[in-house]
Amino acid sequence: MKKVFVILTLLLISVMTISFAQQITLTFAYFTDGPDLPVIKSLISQYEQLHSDVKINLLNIPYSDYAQKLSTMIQGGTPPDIARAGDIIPYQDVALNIAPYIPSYTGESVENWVQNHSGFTSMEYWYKERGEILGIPWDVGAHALFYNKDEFAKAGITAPSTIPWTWNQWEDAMNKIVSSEAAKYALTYEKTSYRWSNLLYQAGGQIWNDKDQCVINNAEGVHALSFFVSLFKNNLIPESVWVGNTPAFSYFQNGLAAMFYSGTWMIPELMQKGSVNFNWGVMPLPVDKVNAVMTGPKVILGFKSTKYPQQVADFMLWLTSKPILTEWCQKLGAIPANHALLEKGVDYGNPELNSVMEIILKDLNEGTKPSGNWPANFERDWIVGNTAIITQTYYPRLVQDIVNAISGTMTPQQALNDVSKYFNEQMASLKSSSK
Amino acid sequence: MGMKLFKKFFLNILTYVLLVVFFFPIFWLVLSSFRPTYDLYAYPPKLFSMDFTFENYVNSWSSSDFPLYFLNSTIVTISATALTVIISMMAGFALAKYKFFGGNAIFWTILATLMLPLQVIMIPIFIILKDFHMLNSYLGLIIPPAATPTGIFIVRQYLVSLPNELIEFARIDGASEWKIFWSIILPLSTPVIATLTIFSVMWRWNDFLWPLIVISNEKLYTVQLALGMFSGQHTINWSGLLPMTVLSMIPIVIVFIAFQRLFIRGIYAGSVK
Amino acid sequence: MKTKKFIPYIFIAPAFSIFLIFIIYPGILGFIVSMYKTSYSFGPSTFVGFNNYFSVFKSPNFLEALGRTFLFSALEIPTIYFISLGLALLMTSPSVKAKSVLRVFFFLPSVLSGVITALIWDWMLNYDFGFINNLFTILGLKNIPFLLNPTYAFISLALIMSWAASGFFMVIFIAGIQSIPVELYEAAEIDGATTFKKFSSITLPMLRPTSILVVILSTIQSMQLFDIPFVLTGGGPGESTTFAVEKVYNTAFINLNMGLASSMSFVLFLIFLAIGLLQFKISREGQFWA
Repeated sequence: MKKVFVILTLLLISVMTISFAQQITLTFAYFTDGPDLPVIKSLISQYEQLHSDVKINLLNIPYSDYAQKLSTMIQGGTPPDIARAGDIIPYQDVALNIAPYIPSYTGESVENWVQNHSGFTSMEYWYKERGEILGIPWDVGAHALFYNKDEFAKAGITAPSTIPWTWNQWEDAMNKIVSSEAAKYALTYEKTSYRWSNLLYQAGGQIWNDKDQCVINNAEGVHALSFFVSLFKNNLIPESVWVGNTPAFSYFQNGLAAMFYSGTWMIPELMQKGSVNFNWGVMPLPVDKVNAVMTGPKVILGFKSTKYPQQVADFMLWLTSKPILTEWCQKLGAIPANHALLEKGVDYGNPELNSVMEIILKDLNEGTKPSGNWPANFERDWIVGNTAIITQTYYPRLVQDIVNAISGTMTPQQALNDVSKYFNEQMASLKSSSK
Repeated sequence: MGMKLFKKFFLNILTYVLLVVFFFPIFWLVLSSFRPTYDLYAYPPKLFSMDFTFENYVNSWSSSDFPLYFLNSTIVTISATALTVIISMMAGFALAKYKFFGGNAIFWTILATLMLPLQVIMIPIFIILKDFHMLNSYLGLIIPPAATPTGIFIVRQYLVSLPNELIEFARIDGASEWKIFWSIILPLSTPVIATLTIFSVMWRWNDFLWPLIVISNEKLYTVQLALGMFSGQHTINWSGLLPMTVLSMIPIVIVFIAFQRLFIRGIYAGSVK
Repeated sequence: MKTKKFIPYIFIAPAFSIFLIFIIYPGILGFIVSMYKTSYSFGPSTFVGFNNYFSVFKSPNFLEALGRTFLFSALEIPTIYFISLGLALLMTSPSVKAKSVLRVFFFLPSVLSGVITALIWDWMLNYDFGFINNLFTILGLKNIPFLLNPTYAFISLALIMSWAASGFFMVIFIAGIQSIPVELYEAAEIDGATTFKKFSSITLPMLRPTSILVVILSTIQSMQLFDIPFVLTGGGPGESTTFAVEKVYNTAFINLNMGLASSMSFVLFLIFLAIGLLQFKISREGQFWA
């Protein structure tokens, strides 16, 4: 017994700290969004070949722990040098301003570069607000509606490819799917407040007005929620996905639901072998009052605290440069967050993917055109200003109240009143603390 | 005799009923790791299907540097477990067999630390690890988590029930306290050492949050961190996660089988008389 | 008894110094954080004294979650206790064969991560494609909304957690049972004691320290429950499976309010301490002290 202890103790002592002293090492905090890990790894090794003095330490963190790990690193005083992020807002005070590095890298003035590269609100907003570039939009996820071609054929329904369904047509199709027993449910819908909000904007609603008041409980909002709740009441959407927490995709995967309301990030997943065993397609998002398609760009950002701001900016600009971004998008069926590239169109080099992306890009193009207060309402709600901070910080309450409406413990009006009251309280407290 | 046979029959039936309840879901998990993802949520549910394949295992094993992650986890688990067993035995012995000033307070302080959610004190812990240069090192993965309140508590509760006479007699014979610990307490503690070893191996092998704080370099990733990487923002890569989860369970099972042989009944019984 | 006074401190020192540096000291720093109002987006924070604590006690959501946590623990702890003790008795019974293999199977559920446990039980309990509901359909029974009805979800979760934790506590009980001297049983058998008599007058009393261990550890475990409901039920339906630690987590990492989150966890910490001390007092475990 004694001997074992001694040996183990020695072994323990002999384990030494490993240090990685390198040329210049940039730590790049990353989370995956589908099968993109091999692609980013190959891009990084491309970059390292071009710059032998730089080594990129890819720190891949599970998405569910990303916020936790990143905020620990930041508040612990050792943020990474670069990070992938869903939004700039949480990092506005720690992000590196790369504006000074843009002219020398791109040969364009910052102003022109912003114009050419983006068209994406968050970057323009921060540039206008502070004259800073705090992050570069990378690729864009857009909401998308997938369907099971086999089940649609069985129900005798043709999915639209250019002109979107109205909500009424959509609902008729859903009823037909279920009554023809082509599938047990017509639709499976991801349980997030962001996904649900797309219905809100289609109905012409909004979370906030321009006086920082939460007006999600106005007639349009209630209409959107009532429509959503009625789909559950009529057994067109499985309750398990919202009242429970079963992943929405599972109902599409096993054929229990004929349509899947999700986003473009599902495309590489669906194209993978062993993911689904039926033919699938995509259709434009249905329209009520407004043709609204929500997007969410992923951004790449650097941190102020980095020792190598020049190299960080260089890598960020390289990764989002046209040829590299094109490669990324081709391999993943992603949409580039770059206006020039979007207008030119990306050849995905695969007929199946090209036909899917054609429908999506057309829908995206139509669905982001201004109409009434769209998309100003969406940007205020989710992307810029105090309103976006409140929405992004307290969205769990919105999900919870939607579930209350679905399970019947509240009417849609009561549910949205509750959200509105809560959001307004949070806004008041945010304003009082920043005074 | 009939009664005895009936009792035996009943106990065995009960055991196997419980076995089905406990093991059936895991059985499904193992089967699923050999099948395409669309079978996972298949309707109607599938237990057996013709689609059996090793492809998931081959692909996911080669998708990342799993041999390295298994090596890292092994180093951390073995070293931390050795340390845990030694320091928990010592501390548990002191708390069970000495009455001393502050003993109760220390015991409760140690136990109470279990209740601090690690998530919330993560940032101060991170800063301290940074000051000790323990970030991104094996030492940071091994030393801090080795002191586990549960381990100390388990040892203390076990030693409390060892008769005090053993120690008294040894003291009368003039044995030093250290000698009592080494030659009397440790040999009598085989069951609790085995228990603690099994638990510690499980804790360290399965630990996720601690490596998540300490490690920011993929070369030092442990198996659990690597498993976490199969979870993306919108989807979980089940065809990668399931096979690697099954593989990651095997070392724990081996350790469990090896050490549970040490749960031997009444090993010290003779020495009391 | 003339043992040297400093000896127990030496035995405790290695473990305690690690605690002091890596847990207690950060804990104190965490307590200081709980006195600050932290700003969104990693900006500067301001000292607010005990204001965060007032907010905790004024927050109906947190208090409800806390109440639910107590209720859950009250259901969970006895369940785990009886199941794991039962398993341990079976797994030490001379009447059962192949025990060393069977123990592994009972222990395995406690090895699984939260994500996997949630996946497994979603597959078992889903209303539409769950294994159990399909069995019901085949048998001509009505499907049960295990995870869609607040009461059912609460009970299902308690059973799932017992499934996940009992193997661990079974091992603790087995070690405890194995350490009871055989002589006690032999003597009782000579006196003609029945199996039940032996259990109630030897096994149970001798297992008292182990029982306290199991009860306190399972109290901590159920009060800290977080990851499995987070994935499996998302805290729902409604808020029926949202527990206190999930509120702490949301406050820290979604609302990015570290100050409030810290004060919530210190409230939890004090409550646990009170419960733990109470459990010790009630069990009069002090008498085992040498």
